[in-house]
Amino acid sequence: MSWIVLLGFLLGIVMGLTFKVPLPPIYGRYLGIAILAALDSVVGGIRSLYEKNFNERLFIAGFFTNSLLATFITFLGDRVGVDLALAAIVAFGVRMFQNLTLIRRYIFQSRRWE
Amino acid sequence: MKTQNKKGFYFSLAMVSLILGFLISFAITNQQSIYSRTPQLRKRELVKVVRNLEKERESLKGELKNLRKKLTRIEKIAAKEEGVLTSYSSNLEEAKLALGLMGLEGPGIIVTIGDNSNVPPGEDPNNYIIHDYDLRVLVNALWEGGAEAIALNNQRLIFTSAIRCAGSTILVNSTRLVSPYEIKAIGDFKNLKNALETNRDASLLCQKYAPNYGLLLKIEEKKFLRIPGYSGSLNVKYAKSLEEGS
Repeated sequence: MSWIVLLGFLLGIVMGLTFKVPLPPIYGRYLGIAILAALDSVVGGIRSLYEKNFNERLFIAGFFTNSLLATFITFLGDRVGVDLALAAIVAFGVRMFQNLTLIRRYIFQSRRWE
Repeated sequence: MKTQNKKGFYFSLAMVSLILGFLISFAITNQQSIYSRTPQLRKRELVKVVRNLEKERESLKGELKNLRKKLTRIEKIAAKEEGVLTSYSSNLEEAKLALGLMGLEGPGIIVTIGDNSNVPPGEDPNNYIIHDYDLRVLVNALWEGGAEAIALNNQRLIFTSAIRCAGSTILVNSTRLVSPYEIKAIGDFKNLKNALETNRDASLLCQKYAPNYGLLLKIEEKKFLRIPGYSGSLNVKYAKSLEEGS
């Protein structure tokens, strides 16, 4: 069942490669934040699989609200002149590494996935 | 919180992964295309090409000068050794003089004209800089005043010389000139100055435009003036000479 996640990822990459629409340079920052949010969600989702408390709706809602809030904070920061995007970067980054630590622990301590 | 719909969860995880993959590859391709499109980079490359070509031209010019010098020396030796050739070599001297290959000295005039760098806000900056036609007007007026030789920033004007506009610089003998422009002319100072004052376009430039737009303008009399000879190449490929007098 886990192959579907990998398949989705590869499909996404192919789509991104074929999607030939130039992005104005100012939106590069927003794209980066969105990537970070998506990466955080995926790592968090894998962790919840190990912990067996996954909730589909919560996961999807979390992904979208996180991305939107992060983008909004970045936008606000650009307007105010303070790099508020750092808040999102730090929050996502710290959580991602924490989740990764837990995932590592689950893998080496017991194989409970599937 | 145990909602155990594992399949659905895998599906949503796959969807988010799809979005992640899309964003990552999209960001990477965009970043690359932005990098290759940067005009700054292209500009720098082009500037480098121009600089290199100019350097090459300078060295070629130097070589040409040396060769010409050598030729003159050989001609002189030949003239000394054979009496018959003396008249020919004096003819040759005259032809070179007329062509503008020889540096000249004598009394004359120096007209210095330059841009005004303080353009008041909201004004057309084109009015505050010297254009190729401004220089042409002055040069023509000086020829009119009986100038025997003219050089623009030490570029000697000869029969193929043109004064043309090339972006923010002016090209004379394929060399870029920048403001301030120094026009040296050998001739009678009174006649030359008089020509600058009576020529309609030149007087308009000197007496109206220059003070109006704060252009740099200086006219000096020189008892002793040195004008270099033309050092570029003479590209006469198609023209053939006719019999003298025809």
